[in-house]
Amino acid sequence: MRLQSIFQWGLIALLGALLIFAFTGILVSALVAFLSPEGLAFLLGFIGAWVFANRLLFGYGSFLLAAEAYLAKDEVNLEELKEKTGEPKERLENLSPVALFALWLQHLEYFRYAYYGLFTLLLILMLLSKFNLLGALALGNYLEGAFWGAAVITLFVFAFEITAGYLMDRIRSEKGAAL
Amino acid sequence: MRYFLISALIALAGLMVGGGTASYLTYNKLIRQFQNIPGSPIILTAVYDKEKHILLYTITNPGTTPLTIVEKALVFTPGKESKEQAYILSNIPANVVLPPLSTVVVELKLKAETEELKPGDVVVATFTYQHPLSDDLYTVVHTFEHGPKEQKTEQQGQKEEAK
Repeated sequence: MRLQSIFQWGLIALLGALLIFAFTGILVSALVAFLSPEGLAFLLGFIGAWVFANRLLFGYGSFLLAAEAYLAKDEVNLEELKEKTGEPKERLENLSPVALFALWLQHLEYFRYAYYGLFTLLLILMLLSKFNLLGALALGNYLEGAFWGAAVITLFVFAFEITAGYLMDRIRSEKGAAL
Repeated sequence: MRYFLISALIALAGLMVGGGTASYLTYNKLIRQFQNIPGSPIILTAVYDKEKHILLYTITNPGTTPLTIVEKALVFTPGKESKEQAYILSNIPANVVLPPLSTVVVELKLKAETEELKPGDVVVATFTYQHPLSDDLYTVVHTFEHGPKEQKTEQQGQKEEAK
């Protein structure tokens, strides 16, 4: 949790600094010379997507670690698990670890939807401007760079999410019988 | 089975994202480099205009930087049918700009008060050009022989006019 918030605020500071540089023109020529304009667009898209995906990456990442440990060694830290579900503790009394894992995954669903929605919006904008439907051909190339930067993050979100779903199914089928 | 499918799916998605990103960055880098390569002008055709007593050269610029023709020169060598003396015209000033990726028609005036070209006459034209990246001068030399081919096209043209 602590590492997640450090990453989150670090990324927000970095993105904010880059956006302020881009808005005011400070250091832009140096950054462009170092990265090329497309590289800068890629970096902005990468960091911008990571800010929104950070909670998902850490959420699914820690879910994967916890689920792996639970499946392999039957180890489970119930207090931590209850905290991750985001539900009030009174509701979680008498719940089995399987139900807690399911609730944890459900809690991440909202962030996943928001993230994929933003990514789809970026994809649509990129396609519209790339095929000159918005009348801005010059912008389309840079939007494509931002799109590819976001796509790298989305790949990890997708991979973590699909693996988490798989592990959840395994937990249900292997440990659910113990109920 | 499902584990295999999931890992194959992730690997495929990774390939697509990696390939797309790499091709995007490489394409833009290459385009920026290509934009600075000056092309060498190519003379497509040379046509003799009898009435105006000039040669018309169709020159194309295949590069992505504009080229400027600074000077023209010509060497006239008479054929067997011509009674004209050989002559050289050099350092004819010109200021013709060939825009990137386009074709321009350039006139070359033959020496005034000379006979019209006969089959077998040879005109060697030299175009001196510059590109914006340096002050050096480059030349293109084109040999034009007024021959039977030209006559054929002229006959065809006359036939078309008659119709």
